[in-house]
Amino acid sequence: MELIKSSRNSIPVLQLKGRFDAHEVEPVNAWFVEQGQAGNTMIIVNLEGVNFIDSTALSTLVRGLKLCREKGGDLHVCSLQQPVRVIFELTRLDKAFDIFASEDAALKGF
Amino acid sequence: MFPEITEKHRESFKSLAAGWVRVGASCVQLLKGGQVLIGCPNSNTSSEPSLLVTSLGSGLSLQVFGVTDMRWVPTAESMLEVFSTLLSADADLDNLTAALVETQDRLVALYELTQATRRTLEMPKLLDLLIEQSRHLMDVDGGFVVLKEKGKQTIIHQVSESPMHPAHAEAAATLYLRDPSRHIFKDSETLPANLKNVMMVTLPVRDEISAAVGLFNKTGNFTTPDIKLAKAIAGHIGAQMENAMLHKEAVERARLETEMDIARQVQTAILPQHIPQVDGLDAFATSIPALEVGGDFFDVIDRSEEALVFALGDVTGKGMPAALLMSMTHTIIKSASRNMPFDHPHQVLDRLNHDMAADFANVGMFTTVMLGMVDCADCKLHFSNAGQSPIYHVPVNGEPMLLEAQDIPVGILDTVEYTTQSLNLSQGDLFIAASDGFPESRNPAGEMYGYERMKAILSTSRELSAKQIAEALLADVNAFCGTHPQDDDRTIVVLKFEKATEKRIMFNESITIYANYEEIRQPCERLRLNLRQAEISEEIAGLCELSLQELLTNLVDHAYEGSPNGQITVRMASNRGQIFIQTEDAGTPANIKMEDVHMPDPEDLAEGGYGMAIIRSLMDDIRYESAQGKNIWTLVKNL
Repeated sequence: MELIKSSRNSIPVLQLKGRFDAHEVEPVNAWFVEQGQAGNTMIIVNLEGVNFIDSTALSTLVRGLKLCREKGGDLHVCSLQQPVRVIFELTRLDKAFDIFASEDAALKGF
Repeated sequence: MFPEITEKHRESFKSLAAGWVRVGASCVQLLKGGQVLIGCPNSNTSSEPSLLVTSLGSGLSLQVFGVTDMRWVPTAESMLEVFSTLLSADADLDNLTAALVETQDRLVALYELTQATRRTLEMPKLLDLLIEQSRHLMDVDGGFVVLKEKGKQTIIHQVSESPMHPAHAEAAATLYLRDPSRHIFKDSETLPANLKNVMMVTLPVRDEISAAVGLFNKTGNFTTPDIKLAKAIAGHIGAQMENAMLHKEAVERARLETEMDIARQVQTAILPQHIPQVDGLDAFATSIPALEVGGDFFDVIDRSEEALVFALGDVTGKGMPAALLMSMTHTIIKSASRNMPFDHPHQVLDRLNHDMAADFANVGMFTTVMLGMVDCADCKLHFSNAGQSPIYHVPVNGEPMLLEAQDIPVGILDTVEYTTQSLNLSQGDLFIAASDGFPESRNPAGEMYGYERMKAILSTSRELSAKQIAEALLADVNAFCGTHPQDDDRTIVVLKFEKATEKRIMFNESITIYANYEEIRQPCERLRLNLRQAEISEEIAGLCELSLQELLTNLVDHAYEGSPNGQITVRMASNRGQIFIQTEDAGTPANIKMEDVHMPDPEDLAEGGYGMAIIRSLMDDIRYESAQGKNIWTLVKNL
C-alpha cells in the first residue's frame, strides 16, 4: 500500500492507495500518533485508491478518530470506493465516521 | 368320645331295661371306661351279682344287675351292640358336622384368599397373604417361604412375630425338598430350640423354581387335614405367583417391543424418502429391515447438480441404544457431508469418530460406515470406508471387484485417521455398497448366501438400471433363504455411472502458508482471482476475500499468537452452487461460539471485534472442528 502525506489549508491529509489490511496498519497508526503529537486534531484520510479494507484497518481508523475527538477535533474519511463503502456499512462504522464524497467536501466539513 | 345320650336313646334304653326287669334284673347300666352313661332304673351302686358284657370295638359295657344266668349273655351282647352302633353313628354324625363346619370356614377363608390374591400381582404381597392365611387357618406362630432357582439368590420370605433364623428356614426347606413326601417335623427331632413343630409343603410355581412353604409352632400338632389345607393354599398362591411372573414377563416383553418399535421408527424416520438424482448418475438405495431392527442406515444427498454424497452403515447392537446412536451418527454424517471438500470424505468419518467415539465406547458399540462422493463432472468416486462390507466396483468391461474396507469402524479408537480412496469412473461402471445382511443371510439348511452369489448376480444384472439391480439382488437373496426368516437388515446403495457431465467445478485448490499478515494475502488474492475467473460478481468475490482475510488474521492473532513458524493450509473450491473456503491450522484451538458473535455498536468506537462478526454476517455456513491437534474452519457461501 502506498501512503501519500500532504496538507491542505494546514489540515493534514493521508492518501492511501492499494490494499489496506492488517499488514499495512502500522505506518497509518504511526501517522495518527505523529499528528496527535503535532497538535493536529483535525485530519483527513482519503481512501480513493483503496480497493480492499479489512477489520484491522478499520480498527486503526477508529483509533485515529478517537485520538482526534478526545482533543475536540475529528477525522474525516473521504472518497470511498464501493467495496470499501460496503464494508463500512457492514460494520456500521459509517455511523461512527463522517464520510465525505471528496477531499474538498471533507475539508469543508470541519 | 361319645356324645351325650339323647332323649330318644334314653327312651329306647328304658324300654329295653324294662324287659330285663321282667326277667329279674334290678338295674341295667351302660358304661364307658367305668363311667355310667345311663342306668335304669336310676343308677344304683348295687353290689348284687351282675352280668357284664363289653364291646371291644367301642369300649362300651353293659352291666345287668340281679341276673347271673349265662343264657342272657347273647341278649345282653345284642343290646350292647345296638347301643354301640347307635352311639357310634351319633359320634360320626357329630364329627361330620364339626368337619363340615370347619371345612366351610376354610372354604370361606380360601375364597377370601382368592379374592385378595386376584387383586395383587406383587410377589412379596402374595407371599405375605400365603403365610398370613395359613397362620390364620391353622393357628401357627409363623410361616416362611423359601424360593430357590438355579443361578439366582435364594429368596426367604417370613411372616412371624418371632421369625426363624433364615438359615434354619433354608435348612428346613432343603431337608423337605429332598423328600417332599414327609411334611411334618416335630420337636423330638433336630429342630432348633425355639421350634416345637414345623410343617412343610411344596409351593408349586414353575419347574425351574423349587419352592417350599413352612409353618411352625402350631398349638397342638399338625394333622393330615392341615397338610391338605396348606397344600390347597400353596397351590392357589403358586398359581397366582405364576400369573404374577407371566404378567411381569409380559410387561417386560411389551417394554422390549416398544423399544423395538421406537428403534424401527427412528430407523424409518432417518432413511431418505426419495433418492435424489444428479446428472450422469443412476442412483438407487433401499433398506429392508429385519423383524428385530438391525441398525442399518443409509443416506443419499445431492451436493450439487453433478455430485452426490452417499452413506451406508450398520450400528452394532439393537434396541434403543442402537437407535439413538444411529440417529446421532446419521445427523453428523448429514451435516458434515454438506461441507466436506469433494475429495475429502474421510473428513466426515474423522469428525464422526471424534464426536461419537466416547458415546460408542460408553455402550460398547461401534458402527461401520461407507461414505462416498460421486463427482460426475470429474468422473471420480471418492470414498472412505470404515469397516463396511461388502463394497463392489463393477468396471464396465470387467468382473465385479470386492473392495476391502481400508479403515476400522467408527467408535473403536478415537485416534484413528480415516483415509480417502478414489476411483476413476467410466461410462457404465457400477458401484455397490451393501450391508452384511446380504452375504450373511442363511437358507433353512444354515448355508450363507455369501459373496460369490452376490458377485454372480451383479455380473448378470449389470445391464439393468440401478433400481433393477438392487431388486435382482434382493430377489435372489430371498429365493436363496426360502422359509428361513430374515435375521438382519438388508441395505444397499447402487450407483450406475452413465456419463460425464459438463464440468462445473470451477476451481478446487489448496495453498499452505506461514501464519503472518503478509503471507495470508496470498490465499486471499488467489481466492479473488479464482472467483473472478469463475465469473462470480466482484461484490461477492470481495466479500469472500474479506471473510478469508478476517479468518486468517484471526488465526495469526489467536491460533498462533504471532508465532512465525505456524502454518495454515487454505482450501478453496467452488461449483455453480457454492463457494467453500476451508482453513486448517495446528495452533491453539479456538474458543469462540459464532452464535455469540455480534457486530460492535458504532457508538462505542470499538477498536476490534469486527472480524468474526463480518464473517458471520457474510457467510451462509460457518463450521469449526478441532481434533487431534488440527483446527478446521469451513466457510460456505451459497451462490
